[in-house]
Amino acid sequence: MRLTTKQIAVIKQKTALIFGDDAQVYLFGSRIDDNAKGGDIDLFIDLAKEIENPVAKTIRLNGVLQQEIGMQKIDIIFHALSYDWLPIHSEAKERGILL
Amino acid sequence: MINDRLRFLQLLQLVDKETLHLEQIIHRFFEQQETISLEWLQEKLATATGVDQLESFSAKFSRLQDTLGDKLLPLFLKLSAEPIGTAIENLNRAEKLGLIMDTGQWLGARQLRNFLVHDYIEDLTILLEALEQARIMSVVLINTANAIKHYAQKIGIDKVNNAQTR
Repeated sequence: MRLTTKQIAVIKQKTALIFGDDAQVYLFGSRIDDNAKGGDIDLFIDLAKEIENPVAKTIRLNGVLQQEIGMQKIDIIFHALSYDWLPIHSEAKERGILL
Repeated sequence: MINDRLRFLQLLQLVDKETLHLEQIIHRFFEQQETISLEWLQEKLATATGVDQLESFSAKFSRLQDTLGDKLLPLFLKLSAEPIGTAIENLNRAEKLGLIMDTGQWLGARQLRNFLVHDYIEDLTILLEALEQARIMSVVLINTANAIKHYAQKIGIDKVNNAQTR
């Protein structure tokens, strides 16, 4: 996994702040590959509960993380109760790393 | 320096044009509705015109954000003798100058675009919320464009100095 300990801590802290303590956040995509270089930070937020305004929360988390981590290439997808479970969610959860 | 000023003026004109186009598509797409509903969105997506309007709104929103953030703002900072850095640093500088209210909101708006692509967003409640957010963010973009323009006028970089061009 190509994230620093500090980056992981920031991602977990800000996700909990915006989505709640029980939100699980997975890293997936090229950053889980130790041999790759660069690339976006792809995050999957999984919530086992209903959520209000998920788009606004995702945008806010993305903006905060870009500022904290100091890079623009962050992409976040989410799933919450009552929303469709999509193939990309399965891929992120099965192949990704729980932070 | 003169070339930078000319380029800046050209970019101001481009921003004016892109702002107008964004305002026009907002007018056509949202039809002056103060709040939008799932029923409204379903009706929109049931017609080719509605789908075209959604795509047009998304494209014009993205274009104005790119022109402002990637082109106009860095050149504005350069002409204002402000330090230029990464996109994030430039936005932070703009926030300090009072040109934007919230750097995080600006940065997050790039993520918003992913939610505006109808082909990928099958859940209409997500698309609906994304449209509400994009409508709010459009006002933020247009206000930023106006703030940069007024600041440029104030410090006199909104015109090419004829004396210097001779």
